[in-house]
Amino acid sequence: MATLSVRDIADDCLGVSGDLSVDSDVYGYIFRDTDGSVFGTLAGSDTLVGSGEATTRSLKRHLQTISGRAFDMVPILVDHENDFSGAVSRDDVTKIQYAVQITRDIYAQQNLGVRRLVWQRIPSADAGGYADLTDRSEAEDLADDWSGPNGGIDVFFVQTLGDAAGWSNRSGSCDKDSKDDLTGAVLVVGNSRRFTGVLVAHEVAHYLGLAGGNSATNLMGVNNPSTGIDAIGNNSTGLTNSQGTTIRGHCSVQSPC
Amino acid sequence: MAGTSRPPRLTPKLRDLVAIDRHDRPPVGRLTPAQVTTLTAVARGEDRFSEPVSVAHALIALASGARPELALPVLADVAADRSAPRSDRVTAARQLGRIATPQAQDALLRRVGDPEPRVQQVALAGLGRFADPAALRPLAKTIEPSDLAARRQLALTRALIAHRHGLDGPFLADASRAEHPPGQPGQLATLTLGRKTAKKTATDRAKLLGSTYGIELADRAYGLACGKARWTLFMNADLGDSAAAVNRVFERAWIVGLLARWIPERIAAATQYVVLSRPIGGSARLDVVSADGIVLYTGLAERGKGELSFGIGDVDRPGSAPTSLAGRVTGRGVVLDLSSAFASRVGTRATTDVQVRR
Repeated sequence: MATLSVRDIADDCLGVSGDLSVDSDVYGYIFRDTDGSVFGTLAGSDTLVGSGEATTRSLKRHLQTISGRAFDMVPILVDHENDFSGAVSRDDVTKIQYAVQITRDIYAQQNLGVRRLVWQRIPSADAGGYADLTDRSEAEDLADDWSGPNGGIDVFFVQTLGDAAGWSNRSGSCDKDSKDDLTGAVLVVGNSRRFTGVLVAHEVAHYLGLAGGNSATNLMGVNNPSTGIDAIGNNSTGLTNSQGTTIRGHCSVQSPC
Repeated sequence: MAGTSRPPRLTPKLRDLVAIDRHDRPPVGRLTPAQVTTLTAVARGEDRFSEPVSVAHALIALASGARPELALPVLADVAADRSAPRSDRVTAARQLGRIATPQAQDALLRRVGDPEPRVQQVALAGLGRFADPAALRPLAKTIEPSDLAARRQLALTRALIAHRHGLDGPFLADASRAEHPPGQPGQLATLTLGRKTAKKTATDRAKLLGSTYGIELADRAYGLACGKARWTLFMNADLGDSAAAVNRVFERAWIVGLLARWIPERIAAATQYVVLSRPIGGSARLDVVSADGIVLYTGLAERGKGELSFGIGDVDRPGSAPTSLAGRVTGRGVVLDLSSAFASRVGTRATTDVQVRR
């Protein structure tokens, strides 16, 4: 059995070397709460999908998935200042890190990794009203106006979104200048940690090619044909082999490193 | 004893309406007095409930299902409460815009000077969707917002009132069309514009979400397709659809129509852009404007022989996709003589790296 080396994978897959912080450099969890925790203040219902426990995660499994077929994620904090004087709070960013870990656990079921997190922001002075969106058409405007670096899937985090918890495009484009697509996922950060994780995984799965589903325990939930919005909950975490095959065929999924 | 009383429990319907962790928004329907009372308590944070509740969802439910005179005081109070979370204040102000009554207009006017720019902007956006000319005087007295987006929203709100009511202003500042070299075939998206039947227009109208900006919609709309994107262009019924009627764009300012984007395709159309016109010399200026006041496309309409001709193109700004359209409005609808639309945007604004102190 091949040995997994943190240093080799960090160098080969993530482009980082030297003194490594596992949380910051290998997982990409660069934020800390005031008490030093990467996942912030958890509620009793917050559990990770992989372990079923509040914070337990497997470094070995993480190294396996990011060195296999994987994609990069570009979390974009809308109306954020580095000193947290904008709309985004420290609780928001640790929640997003928890959500990413849940997303990783869900995709790991199909041996797919979320390799790099490329943290981006839209400064408060430039964000205008984009942190508070009325509906899907304004989500479209946000993704039309702003793009993260190429190579990863843009995931915009906003404070309010009137008509759903998130929007994404099905089979989204890998060309972020494409005019006709919602070039990323847009979702609200105000829900619980566990649900935000399911929501991130769900919207990104749309972008990677999955349609709405018909099972409350599947990641794609139960589609409502009259609204186009899927009902999902904290237990909507399943991912079938067929869905895994679809996701792995998306243009943003990279080869093993 | 009050200190030992159990936290109130929610009925299944109310639990559904105010639950956190919901992706979709459940239908609200007509609320009973008891439901309004409980939702008001949730919105005001007056009771501790036996399960987590969302103030924002309670505000949305009240605006949708309670009588306006019951919902409005709650919405106005939360919007004005500077100790409330910003997201709740924004949601309350947004819902006041949905109520769209004279009382809501007054409540929103009280928020246009709010020190929180996002509350200010959402209040202005709401007024832009329905306010009458009486709002122009207090808006003229509003101190120019220091926040760029709120300032732009104020300009749009004043312009929308003028266009809706055919006033001589105030209008948006003139925008300039971008100059682009002609696109090569591989760079261009296919663009089509076709008139819809009255039946299809009614179907689209039933699926329209968002504001109609206070205009009556004409019986016949247009379908606009550019690449994979689809819109329905709803026209102002007051302008009619004959060339003679459309010539009214030379007589006064109008909200000509609304561009509603289909997302998800065929399921729901959300108002994305507003088309404005105003007389300028012997012509009429046409502007396609986003909900936050950015002029995206601009051009002119001219009188022709028994028809109206127009040319419109994209405004020079980051993220624009070079676009040029020219055509005529005849007795049988709109005919496109030229359409050129790039499939990609130019100069999309790039996000900034997050910096974290280790």
